[in-house]
Amino acid sequence: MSDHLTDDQIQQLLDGSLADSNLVASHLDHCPICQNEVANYQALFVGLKEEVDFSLSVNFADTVLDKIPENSALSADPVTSASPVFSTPIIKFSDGLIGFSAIAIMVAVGLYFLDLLAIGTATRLWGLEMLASSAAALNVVKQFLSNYGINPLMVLFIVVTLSAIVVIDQIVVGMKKQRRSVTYSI
Amino acid sequence: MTESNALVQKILAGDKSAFRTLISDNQRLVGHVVYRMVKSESDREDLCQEVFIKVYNNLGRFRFESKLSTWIARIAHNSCLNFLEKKKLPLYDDLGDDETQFEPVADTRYQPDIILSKNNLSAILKREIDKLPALYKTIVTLFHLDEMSYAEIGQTMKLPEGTVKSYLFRARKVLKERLQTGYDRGDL
Repeated sequence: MSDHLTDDQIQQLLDGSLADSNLVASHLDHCPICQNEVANYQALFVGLKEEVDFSLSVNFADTVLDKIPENSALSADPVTSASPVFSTPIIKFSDGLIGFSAIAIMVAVGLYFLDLLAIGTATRLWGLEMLASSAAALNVVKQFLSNYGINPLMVLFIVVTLSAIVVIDQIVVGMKKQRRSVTYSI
Repeated sequence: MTESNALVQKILAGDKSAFRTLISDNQRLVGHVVYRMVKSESDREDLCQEVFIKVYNNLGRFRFESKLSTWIARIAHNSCLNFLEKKKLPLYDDLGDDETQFEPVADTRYQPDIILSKNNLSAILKREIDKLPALYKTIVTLFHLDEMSYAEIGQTMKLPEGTVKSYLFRARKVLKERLQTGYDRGDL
């Protein structure tokens, strides 16, 4: 072995998990630098065995037992005795609202790129008054923006992009929270 | 029937003194996990109590798929994570993998071989361990003080065995380098 031992090799040697310890031992026999490194790690390992500066109160067990009600349910049934897995509802109201808004915006975009008046007429025929009103309202907005020289397509693009970002962000954050709730459930 | 199995059966049958035995057998381990993960001294004992109350309430769910102590350590670990999350304190999984996340050592004026045989190594080492991120110091403590295997630490902290080993080796290397380079002879 021409090079010196690596930190990993020395740690494995001291842990007793080194596969080829003979090769390492023969290197150590004639290498004072590695011998010194092993000594350093040995001292560290001894130090790591020292107890932490923390102890529980003398009557710790009594305090815990006092906090357990006499009739506390100790069921072996994993379903009935388990604490709730999810600490928050799967879909929160705010998430639902954002989702609904996103869908509304998408519908609006779809309507915008089509002939709104025609759709309005058609939907009125189908009795879908609300959709027809929305289409008409969007047409008014489109006309209004055009009068002020604002490109309605650009406005729509910005609104849709921002909405998509918010929705994706909410979904990701929600998934993370759920994962944590499950992971730390007990 | 193993010793822990018998103990669990007694507790499930309502034997409170058996639960007292469980507490006394495992309070050191729980204390280690809580001490390493939570800095606030005033919260530590409360958290340890909370852990054992959870152990009692959920003992019926224990399926002997791991050692009882590993299961209890996992509850302690999860309770600490919940506590840190509730207090909006950073969790260790916000840390990256880069070694630069550790605080840098002070200087490199002294050669590696002069430091580690001094008398107050213990005090310096404790200080340096405290500076490590919670993830690393918990792994170091579970391995060296509680003599848990990589697999048991992995089960406790929900980490792959290889990751546990890698973090442990990295933490020890950092500690060794800090001890070698961070203090001059006068300090020791």
